[in-house]
Amino acid sequence: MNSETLLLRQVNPGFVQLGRPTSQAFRPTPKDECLLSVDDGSLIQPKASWERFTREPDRHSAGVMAVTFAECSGQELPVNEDRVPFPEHCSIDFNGLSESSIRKKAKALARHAVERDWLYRESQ
Amino acid sequence: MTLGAFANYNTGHDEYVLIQGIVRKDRNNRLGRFESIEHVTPLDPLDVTLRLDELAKLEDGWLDGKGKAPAKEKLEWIAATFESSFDTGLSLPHLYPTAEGGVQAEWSLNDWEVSLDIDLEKREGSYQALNVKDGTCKELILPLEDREGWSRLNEALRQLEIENVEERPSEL
Repeated sequence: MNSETLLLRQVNPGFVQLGRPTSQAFRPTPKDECLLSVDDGSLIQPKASWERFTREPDRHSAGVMAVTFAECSGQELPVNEDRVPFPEHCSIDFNGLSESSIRKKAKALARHAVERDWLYRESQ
Repeated sequence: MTLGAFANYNTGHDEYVLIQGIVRKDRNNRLGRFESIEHVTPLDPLDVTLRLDELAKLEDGWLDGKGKAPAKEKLEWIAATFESSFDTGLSLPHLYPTAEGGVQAEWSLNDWEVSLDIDLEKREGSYQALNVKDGTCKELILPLEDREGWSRLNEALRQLEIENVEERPSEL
C-alpha cells in the first residue's frame, strides 16, 4: 500500500440522497468499535468489492467511494492493514478520538471522496 | 392534495410535483380520480417533507442488519417544526437517517461542511460546521423544541452563506 492507494468504502443506500453521501458513511457507527471497514483498492476493483459485500446477508450498498491512504494520514487517522476477514480488508482507526473529532474527520474524508466521485454505482 | 413522481432521464432521479385540487374518494375512503386541478407545483428535489416521508419507510435493521428506524410520529414532528421554523431563504439540507434512529441534516456550503445531528427523542440538534480548507470548526447544541434554537441555527447558516458570497465576488 502506498500514499495514493484507494481505500474502497461501501455506502449504504440510506446514506445517499440524490447521489450525495452523508459524512456518516465515512465514520464508524456504534457497532464498528471505532474501526471503519474499507477494502485495499490495490488488491480489488470497486465492482468486485461491491459484489462481494452485497453477497453477504443483510448487506446493502448503493455503490463504492474511496479515500486515499494519504488523505487518512492527513487527518491523522491510522490505516490498519488487518487483512481479516479477507485479504483486502483494512480499517481506518478512529480509536481514542472524541465524538466531535470523529465527526470532523469524517466530514473531511467525505469531502475527498465526493470530489473523487463514485467509483462504482449499484445501477452500473 | 397529492404528490406525483416522474423520472428525469437527465438527472436519473425521480422528480415530484405537488398537485392541489379536488379528488373524489371511493367508498373505502381511497383516493380516486381528480375532479379538478387548481395548481401543479414542482417540488424542490431537497423538499424536506418528501425526504422525511422516504425515511419513514425505513425499517429496523436498515444499516446492514443494524440501524434503528426513525419513529414515524417523531419524523412528523421534525417535518412540521422544520416547515414552520427553518428560514426559507437558506439552502435546504440533504437529510439522512442515523444508526440511532435520528436524522442528520447536512449542507455543503463552499469550503464548509455542516451537519445537524437531530436527536428526535430529546428534540435537540448537535450542530457542527467544519471549514475543510483551514480546519476552523463551529459547534452548537440547539434545542429544537423552541424558536430560539431554530433562530440560532438559521443565523449560523446565514453567516456561512454570507461568507460564501463574499469569497466569490468574481461570480457576481
